[in-house]
Amino acid sequence: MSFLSREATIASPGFSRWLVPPAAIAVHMCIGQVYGFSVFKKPLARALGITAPIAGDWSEADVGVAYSIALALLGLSAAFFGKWVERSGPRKTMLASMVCFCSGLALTALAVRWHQLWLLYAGYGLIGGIGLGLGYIAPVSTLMKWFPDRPGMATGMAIMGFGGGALIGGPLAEELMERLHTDTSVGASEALLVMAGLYAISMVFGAMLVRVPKEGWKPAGSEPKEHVSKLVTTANVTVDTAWKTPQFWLLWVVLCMNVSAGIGILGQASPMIQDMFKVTPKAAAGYVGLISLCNLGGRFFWSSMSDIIGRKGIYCIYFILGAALYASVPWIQGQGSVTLFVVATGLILTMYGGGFATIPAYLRDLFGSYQVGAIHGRLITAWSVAAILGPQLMDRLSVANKKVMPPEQAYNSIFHLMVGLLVVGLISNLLVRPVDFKYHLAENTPA
Amino acid sequence: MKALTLILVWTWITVPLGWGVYQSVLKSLPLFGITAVAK
Repeated sequence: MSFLSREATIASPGFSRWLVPPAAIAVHMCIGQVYGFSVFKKPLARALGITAPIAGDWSEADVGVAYSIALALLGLSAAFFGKWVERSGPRKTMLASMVCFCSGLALTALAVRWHQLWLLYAGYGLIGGIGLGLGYIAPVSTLMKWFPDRPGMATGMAIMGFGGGALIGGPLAEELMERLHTDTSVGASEALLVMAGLYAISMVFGAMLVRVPKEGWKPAGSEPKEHVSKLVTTANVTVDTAWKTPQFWLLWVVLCMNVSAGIGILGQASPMIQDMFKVTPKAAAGYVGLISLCNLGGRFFWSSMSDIIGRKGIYCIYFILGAALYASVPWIQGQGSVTLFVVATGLILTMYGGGFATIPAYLRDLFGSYQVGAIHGRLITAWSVAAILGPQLMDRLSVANKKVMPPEQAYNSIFHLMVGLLVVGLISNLLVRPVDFKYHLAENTPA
Repeated sequence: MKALTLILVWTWITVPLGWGVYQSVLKSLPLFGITAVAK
């Protein structure tokens, strides 16, 4: 029995399940760095010129491609390696994630040092992206097995860690580049190496700490609920069967619409508030900081609430309240109230985060916990699609609108489009029914 | 011993997360017209 095997991570009697969330968060708060990658754009775009870009320097768009590759690989690797993750257990997967993600950062440092764009794409985008996918799904499915009584809260904690990773990764990179830059280096290469080391320590910590519960384990004092929603199954569905069910694709649309509607705002937050309310760039940066906090808090709050309200009900809230808030933004702008705008969009961003955090528990309700990590992995492709769809819609529409109308009015049609996306998500959510018995795994099949 | 382990393990993740949240709060202050004293 290998130290890395699933069997080696089975918890001994008396093990506290509250040790597992920190293990999951330790991994997620590292890989969440990907959301803070944008702080490297400007320094990498003047890696040769140091103080200003010169001929031969990469453009910011060139650098941004690495981020897009990483997010695409997150979805693809989560989908592709999902079954391997379930088979191998969380420790081996977390360590594999650490090796990929941290060596990706180290290769990125070399790419900057040698000024090789292909190495940036291969290191950060390809190898680092595979690390993101592996590290994203393994802790989530493990936590759901430890918290069958509160799966929403459990996944909320881990996925909140991913959101927190952006809040740590951005300022950490800025601080390191500030301290490590020299007359011949922007400090990005050095900062990336230090971050690779720090993240490796944290991810190894998570991998050493993580445990899986023994087969049949139940939390002490947990009683079966009397009134359980029809959507919550006690049966299991395999990953290969799950994605042939209508429920999988309905949830795929639910996640894709929820993410598309939120990610558009996140990417355009700073220019949007400056155009709409004429605030200063500094205040706009403050707005970005604030909605990032909303995104973080929403992941834990809404996901925990879903344990009380139910998964279908909570997504109805996300879509109905989100659509109402989006629809009200043009009116709020007419009132000239920055405060109301911040409150409305902040609330929307809490539900964007909540949507991410609640989906694994929704999958568990419908398909059981047997291969929920692998099913989650395949569903994450919806995020990859949304990561392209949302910003593209926002960018193209705002640019086109600004050519024919004043910038402060250029966003109104975008908000109406977001309402449309959320209505599509709402309809998909309302169509979700319990999975047909014919898809269930036979009861005597070992799970 | 169990309680101490729990405290240490949770501290491991709450310290960096708390630092990240603090940085974001500092960053958001200009929106309210408040000047941050520390960086």
